[in-house]
Amino acid sequence: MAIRTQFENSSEVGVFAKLTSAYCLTPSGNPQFYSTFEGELSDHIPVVQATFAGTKVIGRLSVGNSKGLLVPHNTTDQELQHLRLSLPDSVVVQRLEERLSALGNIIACNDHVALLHPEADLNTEEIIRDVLGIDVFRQTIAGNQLVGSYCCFSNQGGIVLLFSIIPLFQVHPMTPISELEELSNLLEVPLVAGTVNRGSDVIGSGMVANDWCAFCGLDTTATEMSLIDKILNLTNVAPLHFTQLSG
Amino acid sequence: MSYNFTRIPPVPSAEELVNIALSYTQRKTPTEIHTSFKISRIRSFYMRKVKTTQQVLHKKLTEILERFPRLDDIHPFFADLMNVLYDKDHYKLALGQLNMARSLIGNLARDYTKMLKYGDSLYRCKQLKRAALGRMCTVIKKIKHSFDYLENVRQHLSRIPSINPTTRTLIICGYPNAGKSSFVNKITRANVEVEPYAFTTKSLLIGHTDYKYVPWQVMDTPGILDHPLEERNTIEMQSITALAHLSASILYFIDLSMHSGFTLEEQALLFKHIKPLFGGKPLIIVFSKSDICRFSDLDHDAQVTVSSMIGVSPADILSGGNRHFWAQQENASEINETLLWSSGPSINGSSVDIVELSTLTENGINICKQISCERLLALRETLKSITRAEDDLTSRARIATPSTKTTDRAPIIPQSVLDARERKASGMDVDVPTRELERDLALRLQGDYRPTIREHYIVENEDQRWDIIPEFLDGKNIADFVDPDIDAKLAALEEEEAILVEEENRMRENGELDDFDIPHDHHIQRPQSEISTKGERLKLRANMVKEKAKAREQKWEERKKERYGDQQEGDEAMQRGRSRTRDIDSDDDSSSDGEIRKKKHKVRQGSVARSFSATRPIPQRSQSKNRAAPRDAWSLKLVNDAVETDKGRREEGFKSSEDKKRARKMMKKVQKEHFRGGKMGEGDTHVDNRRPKHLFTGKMSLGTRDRR
Repeated sequence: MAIRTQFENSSEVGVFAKLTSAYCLTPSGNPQFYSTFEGELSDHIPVVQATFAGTKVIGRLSVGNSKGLLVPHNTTDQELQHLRLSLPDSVVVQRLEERLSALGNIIACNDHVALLHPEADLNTEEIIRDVLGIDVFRQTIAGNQLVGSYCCFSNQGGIVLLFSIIPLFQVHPMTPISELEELSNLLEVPLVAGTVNRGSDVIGSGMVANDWCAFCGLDTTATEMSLIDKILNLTNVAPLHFTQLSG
Repeated sequence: MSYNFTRIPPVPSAEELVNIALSYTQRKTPTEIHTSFKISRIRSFYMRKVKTTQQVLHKKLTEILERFPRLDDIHPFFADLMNVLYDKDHYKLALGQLNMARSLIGNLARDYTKMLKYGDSLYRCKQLKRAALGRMCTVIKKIKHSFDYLENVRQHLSRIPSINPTTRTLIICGYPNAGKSSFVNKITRANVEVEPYAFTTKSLLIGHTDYKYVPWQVMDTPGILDHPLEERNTIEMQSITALAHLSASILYFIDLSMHSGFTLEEQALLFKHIKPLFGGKPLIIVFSKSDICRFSDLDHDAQVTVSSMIGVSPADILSGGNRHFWAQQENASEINETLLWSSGPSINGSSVDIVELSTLTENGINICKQISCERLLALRETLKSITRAEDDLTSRARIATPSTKTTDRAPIIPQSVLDARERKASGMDVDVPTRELERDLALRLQGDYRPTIREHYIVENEDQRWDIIPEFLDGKNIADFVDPDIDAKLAALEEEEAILVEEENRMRENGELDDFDIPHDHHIQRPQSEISTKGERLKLRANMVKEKAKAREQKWEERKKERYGDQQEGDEAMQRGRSRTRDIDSDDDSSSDGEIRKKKHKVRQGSVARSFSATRPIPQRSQSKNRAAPRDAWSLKLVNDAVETDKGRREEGFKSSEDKKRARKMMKKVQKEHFRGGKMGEGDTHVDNRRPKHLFTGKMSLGTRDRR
């Protein structure tokens, strides 16, 4: 079962945290938020307080999986050093020189496959392949180029945006469904169209998930939660340490 | 889902609506118009009238159309009830006519405003307006009956009790005069009219009662006679509608005493005919007026007639059927007294219970209520659980599953997580001590709290954990020099070194290497010699450069001399030049010499500008080098002049420097007072007249004060 939490009165958990099967990052300076993750995860993976270029929106600025972590180019040397010291050696931490520096927004990945913004650099594609050790596909989700914002998937399943609120171009009515199928085949995980945080379609910003747990915003409704649990295979899996905190 | 039909605003009659529209137009549009006005003004005057009338009518009609319930959108029970009461076709037709009128009026207004654009006189425009308004009113008046009908519907709708078709409801039905309303009066506070004749209740009535701390609707329906559906009147049809659409407990009242004037056969036949409406609902057959006549008091034929209704024999009824079904209830003994027969657990929601009651002695009333409520609660509970199962998301959300799947893409779940899950599932995690979280630490330490960061570092040696890691060293960012492979490189170097040392040792042992050989190593010696020769070479080069520069300077000097003669001649030339420029300054017209003009220009533009940078060094140099190299005679002279005049002006008018000092002191003293006051100077903003008269005089009518 996913855990509801919030960061400083904001339900956009995915903006402020990064969760993979090998580590979890939360922003520095908020022991409340940190402890939500710490209680649930720190017996199993390192939970690290971090900043990138002094900002707290670490979920949107970085991208990673169990093999590596890519951080934006403006990350300071000290922040990078802190990460390297905190994460196990098996996780490669590397800066990524990319014009679109909100890596969390332009890249979505699990441990096997990544979706990339169609206009990202060629080098980026290569570095993702090398550092994270996964296949990279340039994709859009329902016409949105910010693939990282509009979906969230683990190795077991994922949630994506089905219809864009602003239709970018005229599409055949069945396209979104076929697109869902296409994405599912690409990622090789079951996908479902859904929302988090009471109807927010920026799913990647609203929640974080790995293979055995998920965290979503405090606004998330029971229906959304049940869909998240269902698709991420978390049904009937109670949180290990239920430390539901408010902010 | 509850509807409030009382909120529909009153529908004006056609005449009223016309009056409303016309008087609004009269009140809200300008009324003065003259033939002398511009024709465009006249046109727009009448166009406005036409448009306003149309808008008012449109607004009123839209309001009516929106506030009346649409039969397709409301609960089928209400849709059917409204069909029964007001005739669906008539209702739809009336609303349709209103809608039609609305669009007709819109078209009219459009056409007439178009025509008004071409109106060439006030008279014609006025006639067009009259025609437009007249036709609009005619359209409204033509559907006068629809307005009247809708107003009637509204009034009747608002009098219908508010019925919630989805809540817990008991429906009480049966032949007229069977005691239905009396029962309702007993269990609710509805105070329904009760009279000893048939069809006292002419419409659906609602009472409310409580059972198990939740409110229940009790619906009293008009009596139903046994005849085909087509022949039923509006009053009966209301009961049928309620029975057909509401998911409720149904209490079918039978008057065994036949005091109502209807025979048992008739009542049994009606039951058979309307039985299809009871499907899937709990049915309670109520033998009313038990104070007069009970089932056991009936003769055999009558008992057979009654018991055949539910397809059992009289003996079965007297034995009580599955009455033990209610044995679980607290008041099982009471139930046994009044509950005649029970079908036991419900099958597909249907169940039958037979109860005897008397509203006079109040015998069995509560039991009847209890049984019908319990039955319905159980039914609703089962329905809910069924809906919940169907609610499963997989049946609604489309989950796209990949058609192919690579085998090695298993989820990555650490063993510790699986173990923890297992422990949790088996309840073994209770004795695991809870760790102090960061939040607890922060709460405990309050102001002394510092985030734990280094504690979590993954370090090889514990003594390295608290090492200070400098960010900068000797002005260099250390991170720039960090090489992730530094350890490997160092190891490689050390290895190489070891090999060399070993080889050397070996060679020395073998005597191949002389101890004194090492300093004479060829590779070391050669650079030393090279270094010394290079030093000499550099010295030589420096001398050559110096000499070259000297030669260049001499050459330049000579060239100057050629141009201006020797030093003295040069000075004279400069003198000449200066007097020339002064001439030009004093008397511009006198000179027509182009060359002089050019020179003057040069003095003003180039040299003066250059003088600032060249002022100081040049005199020094000329002193030290005895004016050996005047770089630019013109500029030099001018600079010297400038220095002189500057000095002269400062000293001007004073006999001595003491005088000057005194004068300065006095000046300061005088100015001191002025400066202290911070008085307004010429640099300060000053407005001569803050209220210029021409902006503040004269009459202003309301709302025209915009002179700025």
